[in-house]
Amino acid sequence: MTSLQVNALLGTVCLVALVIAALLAARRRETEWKSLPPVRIGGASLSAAALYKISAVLAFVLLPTAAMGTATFKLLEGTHETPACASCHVMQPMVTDLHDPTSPTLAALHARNGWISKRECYTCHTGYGFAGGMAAKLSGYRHLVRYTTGTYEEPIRARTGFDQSSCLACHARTAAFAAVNSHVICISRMVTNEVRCTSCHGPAHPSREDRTPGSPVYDRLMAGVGRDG
Amino acid sequence: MNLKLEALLALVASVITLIHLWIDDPYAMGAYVFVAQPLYLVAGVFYVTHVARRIRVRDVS
Repeated sequence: MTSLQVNALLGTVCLVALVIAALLAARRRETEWKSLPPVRIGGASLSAAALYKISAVLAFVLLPTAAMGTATFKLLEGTHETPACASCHVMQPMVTDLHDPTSPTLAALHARNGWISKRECYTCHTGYGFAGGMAAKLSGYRHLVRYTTGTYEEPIRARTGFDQSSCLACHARTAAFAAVNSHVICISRMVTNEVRCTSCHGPAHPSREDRTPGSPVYDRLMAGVGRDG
Repeated sequence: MNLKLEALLALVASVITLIHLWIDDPYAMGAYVFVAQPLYLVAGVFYVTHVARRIRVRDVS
């Protein structure tokens, strides 16, 4: 069982308890509480008023907090996975290409060669450290608003340029990187994103033209079919 | 204290949260973020307001 499945089970238990507590709390008015007989729970006797008050605190304060904790965990952890990115249809061309065994794009090469074998989207599109993670989450909220309200156009385009630090974090330390003269000459401008890795290597994903509805390969990319079918 | 509205809000939020927990879908995610979370908050605030009003009426201070 994955941590997300355990989390979903835990959340479901909280939500079932929340529903029971909310129904109990809303069942009678406060004026009726005092006229009700005490309730026996196990060996203990509890006044009806105390039972309703506990139910209300559970239903409107404690259990919603717990349920939101599990749901937010799903929101934050679940979006690390590539299928979560693919669940928005505008991302399907990128994911199709990522898993295409004949694609020459950087994303496909990284996945195919096992350089980034899991959480492919998240690994490259999130800055490093806590600040990078937070920036990605905030950006994710913006994407969610745009997607769910339909306020976007295909092909989608990045609002800001790709941060080269994601490439350099792995490549800059390698001997192969240092052995290329142009890398040594351009490294300071690569760090500041003035020179892009994709200027020489790339493309990273299917081109904007390919991702435009009506293009010859659009339907294939959206259907999740690789170049060789 | 009548908590029927708070219970209704919490129940709707719970259903949305349950869908979000089990289904990978951007609309379910959006519904949780932009509908369920505010509903929990509103239900909680209404409940706390009820309790505060009751305490003031009883003048427990």
